[in-house]
Formats: sequence, structure tokens, C-alpha cells
Amino acid sequence: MTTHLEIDAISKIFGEVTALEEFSLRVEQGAYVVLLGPSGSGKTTLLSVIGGFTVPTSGRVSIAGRDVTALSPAQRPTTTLFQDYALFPHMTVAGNVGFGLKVRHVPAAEREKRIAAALELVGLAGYGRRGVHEISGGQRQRVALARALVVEPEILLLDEPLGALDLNLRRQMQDELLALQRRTGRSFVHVTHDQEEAMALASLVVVMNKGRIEDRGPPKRIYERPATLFTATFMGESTQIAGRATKAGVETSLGAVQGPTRHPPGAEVVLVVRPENIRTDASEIDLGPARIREATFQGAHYRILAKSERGDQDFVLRLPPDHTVEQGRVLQLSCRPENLIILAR
Amino acid sequence: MRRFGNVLSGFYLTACYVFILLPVGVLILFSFQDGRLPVPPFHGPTLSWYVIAFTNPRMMDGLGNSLLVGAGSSAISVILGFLAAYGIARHEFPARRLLQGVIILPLAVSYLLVGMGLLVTMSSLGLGPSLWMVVIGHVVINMPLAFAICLAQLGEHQRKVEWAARDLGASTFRVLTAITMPMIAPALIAAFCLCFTLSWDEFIIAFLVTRFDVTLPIVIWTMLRGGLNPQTNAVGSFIFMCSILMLVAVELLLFRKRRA
Repeated sequence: MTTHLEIDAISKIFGEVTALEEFSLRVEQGAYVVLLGPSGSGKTTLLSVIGGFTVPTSGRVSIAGRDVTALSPAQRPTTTLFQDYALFPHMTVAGNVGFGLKVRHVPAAEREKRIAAALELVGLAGYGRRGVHEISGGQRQRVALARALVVEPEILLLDEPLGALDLNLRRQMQDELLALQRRTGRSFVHVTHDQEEAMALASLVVVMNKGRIEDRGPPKRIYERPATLFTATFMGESTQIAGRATKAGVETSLGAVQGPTRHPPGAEVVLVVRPENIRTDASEIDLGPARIREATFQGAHYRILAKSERGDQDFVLRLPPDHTVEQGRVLQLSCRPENLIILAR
Repeated sequence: MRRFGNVLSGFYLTACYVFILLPVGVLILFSFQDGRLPVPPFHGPTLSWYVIAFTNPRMMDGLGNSLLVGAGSSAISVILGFLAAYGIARHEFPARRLLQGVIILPLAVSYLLVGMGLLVTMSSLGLGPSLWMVVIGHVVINMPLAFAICLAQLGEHQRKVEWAARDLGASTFRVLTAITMPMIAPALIAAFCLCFTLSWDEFIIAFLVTRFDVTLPIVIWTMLRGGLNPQTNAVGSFIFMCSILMLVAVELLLFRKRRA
């Protein structure tokens, strides 16, 4: 695999606000990259810099080995799927899809063929003659997708494309995006603030915060072994136990946890455990008794909020639906060493 | 009580419409007067005054000139107004607000001042009175209006759509002609019609900067100085009909656009 998109030390400063700070990233051909972060993390600015809509204050962007930093959006081998689709309201579906081909002077006969193929690709064969006001929101999204893909871009940029759809349609579009990306073999760069969406789609998740990379890697690794506390909290729920590193492990208010850490003795650390990894079967690491404060039934499991009997420590965990859970009951909590994440505070 | 209120508001509404439309109604009615004076009692009806008006060469010259000036000045106003609005809406630059204010400014200046200014400039440049001067004057007063209408249409959503077109490889010229203008076409047509109706019956500027080639309002004014005559009623009615027809055309156009 070769480097396809290379972002080299990009900074963007708007007046007093630093949106991106010395941001660097390499993406391989055919990757599905998801830029994940809260609003104001710089993810949309980064997408806009890749697409050529925002000129970076410093740094370099190369696509397929070519420096495109100075090129306009029209000259770049990228196309964008906009959040509100941005379809051309005065054109038909076919007119929308064919626009990029028309400005590239593709002959009419070939254009027709490629429009039909692109509509077929997104499951809208035969919709070409309709106006864009005559189709549903999900269909508009597909038209926007066909319009962006028909010009065969090196990289497709997706700006929170699923935000406006309802949950069912969102799941369906996620599957379709993934299938499309595999079928076309193009690189996708997708911006979202939804961690579930990121996990469902990405081959590479880039967690962003305050214009910098917090963590990057495959979604499973990011979820299971986040590199920073920010990533751990942003990628789903967890129980966090404050402590201090010692020679033998970590000292916490719940007792000592034995095991090697990469943190120097005396360092302030946080133990992070995902809800599904907190157990009630007396595993190796004892987390002590905790009283159930709240239990909500969520279909596949109960989500439990509990408070430690040993101190001021909250837990969030899951129990199978056949468990008897009632408020006030005391559970003996534990976890396995491999599920314990130790992070600097 | 509620019924009484309904009757009262109905009466008020009728009174309003009568107040607005009665003069026009009277004007149209007496254009069909079979007699020399357009005053009651009404005799007729007859179309003879229309025949006289439409065979009057001065009247027809005036009509032709008015159409030329109206179409020309409106087209220039809309093009300039649109381009200015696009520039202001899509580019960040220092003193942008100030420039916007300067462009809008002529709206607040009276027609008399615009006409006088034009007259002074004309004579200092050694230019004689002509229809061109009327066109320039009407562009001065109508361009800010076209600018304001266009600016109101160039919002964030339109910007995104333009971005999408650029992203797909379109040049600025292509974006303007293939995306932006068709997208806000109803507003452009409406602006054109508004400018046209304002130019069509503008008197002061046209009066100040023309001499031999004059527009229709000047012709009518000259005739009125010779006394009341049903022929002027006929021309006035014709002007009114034209304006109404244009409005209906715009309505139909916009309506069809909305349904599509």
C-alpha cells in the first residue's frame, strides 16, 4: 500500500483561534478514514483544507504524490459530499450527476452512460429525469453521492453526511457507504462527531481535539486501548478510577492494583474500564463491593450505575438481561488485567 | 359581536381597495368616453381614442423610447446589481460593509438630485441630452434595488451549492452562469420587472436629461398641458395593462418554478 493522501504540518489560524496546529497525517490508498472529534476540534476545517476550500496558514497537502496545496477545489482530485447535499435545485437528478462530466467536456453519449452507471451504483437507476425536489432525503443523499463519485475522484470527502437522516436510514447508509467504498476502491475521508458511526465505518479512526490528533488507529484498538484519556472518554462510556503509579502497580482509593505500568512511580494516572469489562465473577482484579444506584433496561442488556461501598467512586457497567437487578443491591465487582487501561491524567 | 367585527373588517377592506383602485378605474372607464372630455357623465363606450393614441406618431415614438430605456436600464441594473451582490456576498475584504452602504446609497437620494447631478455632469463633459442619459439615470436609481434583491438571495445554502459546483471542477464563470444565476432566476426576473416598472413611469430624470427624443411620461405630460383628453386616458390605461400583464407573467413564471 502506498501513501495516497499526505497532510504535512498543516496549521490554520482564524484570527485568534487556532483551528489546526501542525497537523500531520498519512493515509493509504483505499482507506476509509474517519475524523472524529467534538465540535471545534478542527475536523471540518481539516476536511475543508483537503478539499481546497480553506487555505491553510502553513503546511502542505499532497494527493497521489502531487502537491495540491496551491490548487483550487476545481483543480483537485477530490470531491465532497456536503452535509446538506448542496444539490443544484434547478436541475434534474441526471443534470446534477452529469454536471462534473459536463465541465470536463465529456461527450454527451459517454456522459449518458456514466450518469446511468453512477445512478445504478447508488441504487437510483431510472430516477434521472426526476427533479431533485421530487425525491426523498435519503435519495437526495444518494444523488449527491453519485454526483461526487461519477467524476472518479482520488479521494471522496464526506462532511457529516448522515447527520440529517433518521437512525434506520443512517444505519442503512453506513452499510451502503462501506460497500461503495470497497467496490470503488477509492479513499474516503469522513468527518463525524458520532463515535458509533466512526466505529462502523472506519479502517482508520483519527480522534481530534483542539486542532491536534489525540489518537489514530483501527477502531477496535482505539476503543479497547485508547492512547489518551480524551480518546477514552470520547469513544464510548467507561468507569474511571483515579490513582497514583507505584513501583508495583497503581494505588487507588479502592486498593492497590498489581501489574506493570509504563508510568513512572508517583505519576497521577487514571484506570479506565469499559462497561462490558466490569464483571461480577471475582476476576483477578478486585474492584470491591458496589451498590446499584440505577438500572436501565436497554434490550440486549441492563445499563447499571453503581457506587462503591469503599469510597466515592462511581461505576458504569452492563449486566445480561436475565440478571436480577434492583436498586440497592450490592455487587462484587472485578475485572481482568488485560481489560484495564492505565492512562496519564 | 364577532359577526359585527367581520362585517366591519370587510367594510374596511372594501374601502381600502376602493380608495386605491377607484382612480385607476375612472381613468380606464373614461378612456372609452365617446366625447371630447374625460369627465362624467359617461358616454360610450368607444375605442376611437385608443385608435387615435396608437396612430399618434409622437405617442408611439415615446412608447418605443420608453420600452428601450426600460429594457436597457433594467437589464444593466440587474447585471451590475447581481455582480455587485455576488462580490459582496462571496468575498471577504476590508470595508465590505462600507462598500455595501455606498452601493445602496442612491436609494436614499431623491430623483431630482440624481437628475440634476446628471445634468451638471453632462454639461461639464459637453454631452447633449439624449435617451442614453435617461438610461444612465435609471441605472443609478434602480441598480441598488436589484443589488438588494440579489444580495438577499445569496445565502449560505446557495454558497454551499456553489462550492459543490466548484468542487466538481467548474470555473467562476461557469458557476455564475450555470449555477448561481439559474438558481436565483426568479429573483433576477422579479428584479428586472421591478426596475422596468420604475423606469417605465419615471418622470423627473427623463424630463431633465432629454430634449427631442423623449419617453412616454414626458409625451403624456406635454399633452396634459394642452388640457384633458381621453387619448391620455387611453395611453394611461395601456401603461397600466402592461404593468398588470408583466405581474401576471412573473406570477406564472414563479409559480411554475415552485411546482417543478
